[in-house]
Amino acid sequence: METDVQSPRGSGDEVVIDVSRVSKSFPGVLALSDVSIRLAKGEIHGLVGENGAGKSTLVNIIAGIHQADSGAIAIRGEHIEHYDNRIASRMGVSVVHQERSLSPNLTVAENIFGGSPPTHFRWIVDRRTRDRKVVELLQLLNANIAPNTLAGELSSAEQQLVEIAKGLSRETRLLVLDEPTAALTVTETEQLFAVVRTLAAQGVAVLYISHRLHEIFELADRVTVLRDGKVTATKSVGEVDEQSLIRFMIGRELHEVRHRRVPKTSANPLLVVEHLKSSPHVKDVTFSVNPGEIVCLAGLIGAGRSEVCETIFGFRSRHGGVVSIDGVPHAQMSPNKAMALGVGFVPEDRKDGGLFLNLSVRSNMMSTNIESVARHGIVRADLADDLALRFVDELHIVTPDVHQLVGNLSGGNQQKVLLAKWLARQPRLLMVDEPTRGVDVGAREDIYRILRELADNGTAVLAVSSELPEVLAIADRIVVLAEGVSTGELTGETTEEEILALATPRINEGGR
Amino acid sequence: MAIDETITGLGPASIKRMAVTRSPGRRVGHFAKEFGLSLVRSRPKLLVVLIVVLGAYMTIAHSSQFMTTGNLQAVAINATTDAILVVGMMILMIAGVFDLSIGSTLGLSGVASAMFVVNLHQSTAVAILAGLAVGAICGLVNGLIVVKIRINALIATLATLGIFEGITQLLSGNGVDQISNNYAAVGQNTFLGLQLPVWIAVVIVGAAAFAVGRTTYFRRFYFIGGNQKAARLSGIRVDRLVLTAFVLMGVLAGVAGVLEAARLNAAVVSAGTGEELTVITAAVLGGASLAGGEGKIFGGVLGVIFLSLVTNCLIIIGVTVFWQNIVVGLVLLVAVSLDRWKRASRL
Repeated sequence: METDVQSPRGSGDEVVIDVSRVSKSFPGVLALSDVSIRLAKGEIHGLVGENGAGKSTLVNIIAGIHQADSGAIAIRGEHIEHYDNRIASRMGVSVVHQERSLSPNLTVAENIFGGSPPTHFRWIVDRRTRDRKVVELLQLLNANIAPNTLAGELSSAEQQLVEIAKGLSRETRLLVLDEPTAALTVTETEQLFAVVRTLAAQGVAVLYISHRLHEIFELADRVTVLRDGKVTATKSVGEVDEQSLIRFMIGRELHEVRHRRVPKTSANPLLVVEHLKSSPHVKDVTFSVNPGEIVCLAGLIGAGRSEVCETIFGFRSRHGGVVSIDGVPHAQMSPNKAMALGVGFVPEDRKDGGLFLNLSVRSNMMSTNIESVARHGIVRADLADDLALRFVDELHIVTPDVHQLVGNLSGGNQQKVLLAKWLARQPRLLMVDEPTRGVDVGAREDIYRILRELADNGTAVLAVSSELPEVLAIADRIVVLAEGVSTGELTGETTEEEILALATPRINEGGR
Repeated sequence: MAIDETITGLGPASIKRMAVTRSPGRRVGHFAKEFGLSLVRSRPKLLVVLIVVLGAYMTIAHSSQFMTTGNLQAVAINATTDAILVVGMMILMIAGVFDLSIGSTLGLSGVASAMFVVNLHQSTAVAILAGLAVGAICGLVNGLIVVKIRINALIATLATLGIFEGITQLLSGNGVDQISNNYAAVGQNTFLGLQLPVWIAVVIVGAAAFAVGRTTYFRRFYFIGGNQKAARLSGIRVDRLVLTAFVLMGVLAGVAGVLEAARLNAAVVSAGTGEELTVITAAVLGGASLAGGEGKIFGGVLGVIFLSLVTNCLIIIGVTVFWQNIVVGLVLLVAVSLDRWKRASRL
């Protein structure tokens, strides 16, 4: 661990927040381990890390939403015993979360002041003062928004600015911005940067979280890197470059190739996607998948990977581009039609779009092809049992019997049931979105083996994964997306660095 | 095992002495425990026990009034309308939706059918088909609102409840009576001691129980109710199926409306008022959940039989019928609480 506690701009003066040796675990996951971070008055501090490195957990702890299991938080030198979100806001900590939190059917002014607007006699809302303050706040942010506009009518950039205004509506000593520019254009980003710099000059400490490393270099004084819940570096930005930052983010020995990537060339790719567009996340995606090949879609969260799969599968409407299967271009699909063409789709969240948790293992497995276990429209229990038992056996699913509710199985076994549900259809193209999320190591290896066997038997596999080691472990070919655009393809020997370089949005590509 | 020992309160020495004699008792204890648990797990089983207990009590205590052909026929005919309706409601609830307008649909179908005879001088067969068609149209309207305009089923069918009732009143004022002897025969003729509507209900329930239990078509409703998004992503045509379920509900309400009009030889505007709540109560007692994905046709029918029996018992015992609502409400709360408890403790 390399640290540098001196703050370049802070002139060694007042520390606004001192998070020291904080750890936090969730059931089965150690989200943060011994994390320390310290922000001085007027400092802009970048926080970077891969997906799942613990950034959001740290933000939630600073916001007081989650309580640390161990460690201490001090604000302006005052150690706080039971730190929670009420104390946080009283001490001047304002957090602008990545997810929008505005109520769409309330006005901008109501949203900004929330539960504590200026009042007459404590009970009656003083609208005039409120609206004047709102106008002032929004002017500070260079935003031309009327206080009585409904939040739902704003563009996402405007909503972001209102979120920030909301954060600043109380006296703020520490402003936490979690991916604030994800929805902003270049111009709006520049405006936001100007605001952040102004605030910092006024003495506000800013914790700035972003996937876009160039923003860190442009804006921040210092940067802290998280990896697997640990701080791997705290540096002043002058000491590091993008390459070394990426190295701190990925850690471990790089250039590690787990699997011989042999792209299967084929004259007849099974799936060809050209200039695919699906608002708002997919802008221009082109790639192909050959039979017998595992292609991975890599990229950061929000790059549009899942949306690409959903669009191919017809669950999401396509706004442009061509999707060809077996060389035949197809108009807007529906899941039904895609399945008839031999496409299967294992969605990202098994609890949301994947499994029927209150139904049995057997029912889940027959959900995609109930006709196959029926004769003349009547379900045959023996055929359904055969199907379920075959997959329980083949995929080593641990369950007392096939009548067990899927909701009672472990994550890894649930994921296998989800896979089985699609394997039962013997798809020619199987799309798997985050195939090993929340799955233990053993099941993970099993799933990799299953995908490899599928490919070896001629199935075209399109996998989406946020975990770069996983991408490197299973892919024959890697297609990288950044902000809805396919930015490159990697074959043969490749590294996490190369993927990340393609996945990190570039400012000269114009934001969006 | 531990429980058995605590209950018998035997020390180690006596256990040894009783080792031989104890084992059958333990088996009975074990059986009782398992049986008790299975009642908590399954509301239909609980209903069967309640129905048997209630029936046995009435047979012993009030045999002269309860165990008469006339009374049992009355119980059966009273349960007929609800039994037909609960079939459609159960299917909707399995799919995660429900229909509050069934009472109005029933009333409208009955009145429309009767008017085909009285005002338009059509044959009984045509009038019956017209009644079913009106029910189907009501169901189609509900289904289209829910599926195409995507209005929540509660609000959509609450609105059509009023609309259908209004249409019925506009059509006929207070209703149509003295339909025709021919028409009345459909509801009043008996076969093996039971009126025709009872047999029709039996056939509908049997067919639906088979269809929902075994056919691919109806099994899909469990997937829709279990997780609608996953069902769509599994290639199930959710909208089409939900629409069919609403149409089926409408047709069944039409059947019930026609049979009721025929039985009374009069179509009353208020014939189905309040049916929706009774039927949903029966379905929930029988194992349906508002979230969807659960329930069986027989469960719903057991719910109907139970409610019908409770009413009958209260009348025979001479308790005011107002108690019926209280008893039914309490039973519903207890049944559903057991479910909560079961989930919380993962029995």
